[in-house]
This record gives sequence, C-alpha cells and structure tokens, in this order.
Amino acid sequence: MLKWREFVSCILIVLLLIGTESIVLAKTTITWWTLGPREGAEEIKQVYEKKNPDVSVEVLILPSWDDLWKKLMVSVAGGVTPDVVRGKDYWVVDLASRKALLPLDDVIEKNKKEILGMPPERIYTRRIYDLYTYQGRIYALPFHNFWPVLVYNENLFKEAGLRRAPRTFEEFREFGIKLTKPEKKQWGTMLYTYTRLEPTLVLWSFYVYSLQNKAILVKVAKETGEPTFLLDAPESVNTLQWIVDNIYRYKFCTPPEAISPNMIENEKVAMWITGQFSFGGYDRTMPPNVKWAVAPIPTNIEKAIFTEGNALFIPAGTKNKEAAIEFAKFASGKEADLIWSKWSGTMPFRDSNWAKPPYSNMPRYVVSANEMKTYKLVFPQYFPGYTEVMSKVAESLQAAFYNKMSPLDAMKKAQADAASMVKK
Amino acid sequence: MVIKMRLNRTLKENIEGYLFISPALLGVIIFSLGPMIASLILSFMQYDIVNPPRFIGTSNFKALLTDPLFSKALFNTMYYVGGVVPLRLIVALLAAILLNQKIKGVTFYRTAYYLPSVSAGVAISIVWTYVLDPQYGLINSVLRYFGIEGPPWLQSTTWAMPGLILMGTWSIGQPMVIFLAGLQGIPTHLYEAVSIDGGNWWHKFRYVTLPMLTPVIFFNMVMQTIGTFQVFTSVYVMTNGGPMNSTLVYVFYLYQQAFQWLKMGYGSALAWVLFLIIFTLTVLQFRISSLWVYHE
Repeated sequence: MLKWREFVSCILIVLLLIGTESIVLAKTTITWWTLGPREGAEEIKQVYEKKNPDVSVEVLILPSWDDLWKKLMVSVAGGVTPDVVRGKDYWVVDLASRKALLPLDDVIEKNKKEILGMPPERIYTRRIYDLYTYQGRIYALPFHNFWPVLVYNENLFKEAGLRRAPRTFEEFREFGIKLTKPEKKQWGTMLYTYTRLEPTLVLWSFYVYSLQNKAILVKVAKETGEPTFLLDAPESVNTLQWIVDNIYRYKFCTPPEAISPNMIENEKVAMWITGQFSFGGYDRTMPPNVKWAVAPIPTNIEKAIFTEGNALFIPAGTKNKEAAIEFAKFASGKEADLIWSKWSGTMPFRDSNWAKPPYSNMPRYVVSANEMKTYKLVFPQYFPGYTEVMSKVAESLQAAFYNKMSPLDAMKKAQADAASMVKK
Repeated sequence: MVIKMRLNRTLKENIEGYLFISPALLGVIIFSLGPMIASLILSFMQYDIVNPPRFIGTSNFKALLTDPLFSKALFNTMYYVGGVVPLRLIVALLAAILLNQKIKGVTFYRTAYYLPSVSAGVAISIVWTYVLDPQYGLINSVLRYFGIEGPPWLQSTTWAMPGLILMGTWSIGQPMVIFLAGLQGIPTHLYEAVSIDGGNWWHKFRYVTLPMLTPVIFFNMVMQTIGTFQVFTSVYVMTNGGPMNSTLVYVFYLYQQAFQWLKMGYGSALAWVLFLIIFTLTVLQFRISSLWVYHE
C-alpha cells in the first residue's frame, strides 16, 4: 500500500514538473507552411529551435502549390493564418494588393546588413526590390530560386557527333535537326510544358526564348502596380513564330500530341530547358545509363536570363508578428539557404553561398552560376491578378503550340485578353 | 379542456419528434442549407476572401452571359454527360445481365466490377493517365497489336474528352448494382411465358427485361445525369481543363474562378446556374418519363 502511494506521488510530482517547465519556458509556437522536401524544412526548423529554445516551429508540408494556396485562402477567410508561408513569387504582389501580407520594409531597413548581406548580395537584393515590392512597400523575403538552363543528353549528343551544347538559336536549330530521329521517336528538344498543371508554366516555354529576342511582355508601374502589356510586339511574335517553326517546319521540337511521360528518362529527347529545381529529381530518378549535362541556354540578339522562385511572407493576420519575422529572417538567411539547397538539389538563393562546395566545383552548379553572372538579368513583372491574366495568355500560346492559331493571331489575342482582364 | 389537453399532447409529440431528428436537422442546416443560402447571397457580391464582400447586384450573372469560357465549359460538360451517361448505362446493364447468372464465382465478379466505384478518384485518374498514354499506354498498345495507331488521347484537343469519357464509362459499379436488383425483381413467369411462346433470348430481353427495367433505367439515368454534370476529379488530375480548354468542364471552371482566382461571388453565381440547369434537366426527364417508363 505504501509503495503504491509512493508511486502515485512520484507520477504526480513528475507531471507537476513538466507543467511548471512549460510555464517557465513560455514557448512561443509559430507555424510555417511550405512544400517539400520535408527533410530540408525539418532541418531548418531544428536548427532554428536549437538557436531559439523559447520558440517552437510547427512545420506543415503541403503536397502541392494548389493545396497550399487553397489552405492559405481558407485560413485568411477564417482569420486563423499561419505565421510564415513559403509561396510562389507571383503570389506576393497579388496578396499584397489585397492587404493580406505584413509589410517588411521596416524590418529590412533596420537589419539591412544582416538581411541583404555586406556587400548586398546581387540577386537576393534584386529579388526583394524587383519582385516583392508593391506600391513602394516590400512584402516578402527571398527563398528557393532557380533560373533556366539547357540540359542535354550526352549519349545522344555523342551519337549525333556533337561535342558540345548549342550556344545560339541557329545552332540550337541545327543541332536539334541532327538529334531528331523519327524512326526511334527521338526528338531534338521539347518545350518545358505544353498544357498541364500550372498554366503559368506554359509561359516558361516561351519566356525563356523571348528574352533572347529582347521581348518585353509587360511593364509594371512601380507606384501603382498597374501593368501595360506588349504581347503583340514584333519581338514577342517573332519568338513564338520561331518556336512554332521548330515544331512544325523544322520538326525537331516535340509537338504537343507526341508528348509522353518520362521522355527524358527514356532518352526520347536530346536537350531541354529546365531549372535547377530539376537536378535533385534527376539524381534520384534518372536511369544510371543516362548521362546528362548542363549548359547555358542558347541566345540570339540578347543574352538574357530571368530568375524566379519562392518567397517567405507573413500573413497580416499573424498573432506572433515578432517571432514570425525572426524566423523568416533566419529561413531566408545563409545557413538555412545551404540546408535547403542541400536537400532540394537546387542552387543556393544567396549568391555568397555559391562559393562553397559543391556549388563552387560541381559542373551543373558552376555552369548555372556562370550563366547568371554573365547573362543580363531580367526579372518577370508581377502585378495583381498575374496568375489569372497569364493563364489567359498561356491559352493563346497553347493555341500556337497546337498549330490552331498563327503566332501573330495568338499574340494579338493574348494582348487583347490581358488588357481587357486588367481593365475589369 | 379536452381539446386543450389534445393540443398539449400534440405539441409535446411534435417537440419530441423534432428533438429526435435535431442532430440530422442541424447537420443539414449547418453543412448543407446554410452554405447554400450563403452562396446564394455571395452570388450577388464581389468577394475575394481576403476583403469583405461587396454588393454588386446581378453583375455576376450578367458576366456569365458574355464569358466565352462559361459557354465552353457548359458545352464540354454536355459533351461529357452525353457521352458518359448512355455508355455507362448500357455497359452497366450488360454487366448486370451477365452477373445475374448463376455461375461459380459470381460474388467475386460482382465485387470486382463494383470496385472502381469505391476506389479513390484521384488514384483512378492517375492510373488512367498512364492507360491513355499515347506511347506506352494499355489502350494504344492493344490497338497497335491490331495494327491500329492509337490517338494521342490526353495530348490532343480532339481526343482528350473522348479519353475522359472512356474513363468515365469504366466506373459502372453503382448503376450496375441497381440494375442487378432490378433484374432480380423481374418475375420469372414472364420469361417462362416467352419461352412457351417460342421466343429466344432477344425476345426475352426486348419484351420482358427492358420494359420491366424501365423504372430502374429511369432512376439510373436521372442519378447519373446529376452526378456526371458535376465531374471534376478526373479533369483536375488528368488534364487541368486542357489541352486548350478542350476538357474544361463546368465544375472545374467554377473551382478555378472561386479558389484559384478568388472570385467567390462569380463562383457562387456559377454554382446556382448549374443547380438551375440540373434541376431543369431533371424536371424534363420526369416529364417525358411517362412516354417510356413502364409502371405496373
């Protein structure tokens, strides 16, 4: 009987101590919504919690961007928002225009050296001021980013007697024709995407090439955030015509109806444009016999590159403003950058981290970094309603890819659609 | 005094009745009726979730009239319904007739044919994406075996919808089970009468099975039409409405407007228009049922 009483007393004391510890530590819990890789997010959380024992980070990994967007909207409607969100770059201006985000100007101004680096990191800083600014105020910090590179199959290139990747549009066409073997259903190249998933990704297939022709698709007024479209300018039309000719006239770019899953893995396409976010996936899923390499994208009258990625923003309804800001600063910092890049396989979003291995010595990263250093950096222009308007533009691009509309008609329609949507 | 006592008892019984059904009633009000009323109100508003709703009258409904994608989505949905409903009913009826035989393992076959109806829509859609692959998919591989070059299915603006219709026809479980019940309810003496009169299997099917099954066919037709009009999962997973809006169906368009573009008011207006369309079609089906449905 006595032993039983002692046992119960011990249990009660232990429970009391646990409760007291929680009260004494008074941990702040912040929630971070993001996509995977899970290991990267978990490691960032663990490192942050170790440095900040009074803070607990709850990470919620969503399976897709669509899921994250929907959940975020529901949380905003319900007034129970997460504290920090990793979202698409082009969400920032849209959400900021709806007053759904916390401005971060003051935070950046007070912590300039810490946040931007000393000297300020070029791409990191430009992302803040070029992508996350709406009507003069800043609403996000950079996270994960990527830019287009040309990836090519070394085996197929060797078979065609080609020793290097194409450097110009002419070479791209010339090599593409050599690499196309209809009897093997092998194509010189394919577009980034033709139809599926996010319509804005259809834009990638066009935008990469349009920059090389000095095409400007849209200009956004800094003060008002209002866009002016230039989709039917000759540079844009010529770019689309060039792409469509590659598909239907020179027949080395896979037409939409010939697309099949795993064409890259099955060595049915010799070169393609993608971003560094693909590298991790290729390491995991590419068959060992497939030798792939990275080269800068081919250029024309201009040598230009764009970059985009994901941002860290804080919903306006957060209940832990200070803690959220501190975590966002950390997650956007150099240490978290290296953690994230390690797990995702992509380039670090902090320029200064490119000097560290493997980014300083692995060919895929060295080529990517040199491309970014030597090409003219052009940022996409985001505006409120960007996703909806660009999805409409993507419809016209698709019509041209499917040969249902001439490039001129397609870009004229895109221009008319975009202008009328913004007017509404 | 007696009347007062009776009224009190009636009132008491009514209250008790309502109390018994209150859990279900509350569920209907909170999770069905309430949101329906809210969406009706929202259809007259401009609402993007982040900012409070703003009354705009009938602007959302007027916008529908000039929205090219609204008519495209409606046309695509009618195309899908027009393809799936008759095909599904025919295949389900044939399957039910086959499964109505007294053969060994019939329970297993019935379960196997019903399985698609209880499988996750997303999983089925992912599998069918591979089945419909132009290069390596099952369907084109079989066609190639017979020397036929199969179409590009989901990559083609012409063949994407037929591909979805084919997939929609595959899921026959629910109507099949109802047809099976209907078949088992047909009196056997009618078949005996046909046999005595020298009729064969076709006469039995044409003059006994079909007429006796018309109420069940009608029920399945109405239910399948209502359900098929709301097709969403397969489009969302397999085509995202493409290529080039060739598979953009009504509910997917509604989802895009409401949840991707944050136009809740417009999405609500779309929802109510869909309700009216389905309601009208259902009433029409009931009206013309007297011309062909046999009731004993």
